[in-house]
Amino acid sequence: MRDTDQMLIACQGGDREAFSGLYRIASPQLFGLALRILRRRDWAEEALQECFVTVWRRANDYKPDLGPAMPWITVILRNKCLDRLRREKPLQPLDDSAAAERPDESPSPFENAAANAEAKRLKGCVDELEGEQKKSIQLAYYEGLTHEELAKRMAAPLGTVKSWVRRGLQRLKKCLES
Amino acid sequence: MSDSEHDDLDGLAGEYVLGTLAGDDRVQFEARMNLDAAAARAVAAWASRLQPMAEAIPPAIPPAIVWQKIISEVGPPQRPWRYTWIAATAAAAALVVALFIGNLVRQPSVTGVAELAAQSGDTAFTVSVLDDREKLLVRAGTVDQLQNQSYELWAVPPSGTPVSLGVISAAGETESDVPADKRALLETGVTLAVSLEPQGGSTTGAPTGPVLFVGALSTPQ
Repeated sequence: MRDTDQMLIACQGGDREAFSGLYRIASPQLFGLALRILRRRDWAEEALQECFVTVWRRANDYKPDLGPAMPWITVILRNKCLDRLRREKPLQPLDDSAAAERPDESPSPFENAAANAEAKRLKGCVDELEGEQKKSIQLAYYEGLTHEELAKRMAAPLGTVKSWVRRGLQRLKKCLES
Repeated sequence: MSDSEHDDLDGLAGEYVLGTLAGDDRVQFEARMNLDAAAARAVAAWASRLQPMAEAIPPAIPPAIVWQKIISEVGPPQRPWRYTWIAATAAAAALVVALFIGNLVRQPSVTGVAELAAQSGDTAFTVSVLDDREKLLVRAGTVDQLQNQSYELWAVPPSGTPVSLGVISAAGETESDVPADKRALLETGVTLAVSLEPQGGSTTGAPTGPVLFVGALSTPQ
């Protein structure tokens, strides 16, 4: 069991010391991801804040037998980012100052990732996807695009985009399980 | 469960984690996750599968204010309430006695006390708010003496923008007047924080160094 798993379990018992340890360990990666998705520092800070408040309040929902803590926390963080994007996007176009906050402008930071065996494996499987499937999944993950936004961005009919995403995910799963 | 139902659940879970499941579908699926163990399992599995995508992003250090805001929402780390109360009450009592002896003419009213500490550590500073928020008394506890740097005290209101309450001494007591426009900040519950700054304090109006000690202002009994 990882340190972060143990810390999150300790949070279930109200251990604030563990909570602050969890924040110290987990926040840089989560903040990097929030900056990537939201492209605005102020929004990313708020998403991180909301994420950890939720982690503390809902720590009891974490079930260690279903998986490690970091993916559980990452889902919460990304949900906060997606909520923000979907609330603000129609009103507020991305501004230029945001680009400077973006750690990596390449369309797929994942291309460069091979930090560990799991990352290599997933990257290998992502690379096996057809071009459109791969692109739609990466845009959805890193930019928080909905089906409609993907259709616009990729200049394709909505139904086509939906099937790229769905089939892409199915193939990924199959590849990872093989 | 048939294969098609299973595929559908797994597909929905994948799209939920990816984020393409949106609007009402997303809300409905979240409700299902809370009730249906199979849905919760499928989401957890997708979260683990896609986690390397999150780890591929370069990490970035968030500013200290984010943590301050988190603890101002969920309560300061450590320090079970009973100890905080005992310490705050004792500190307030000691303060009243000290000031009473020092100033027999007038006994100040202590309207708030905060103990500022590192995330796990002894009280570094005890801050008392006196006389209808007109004055602050800061007593240094266990704290490193600085050379060529200063400790600066900040109030962190819910809006999140810290407001300086001045440079404080690392030894003994610092008494200062609170400018009229800052008194409203000293509400019970407000987060107070001490940052490390260049000698004489931050010149930018915002903390420039690390936030070392934090605590919330409480009402003495």
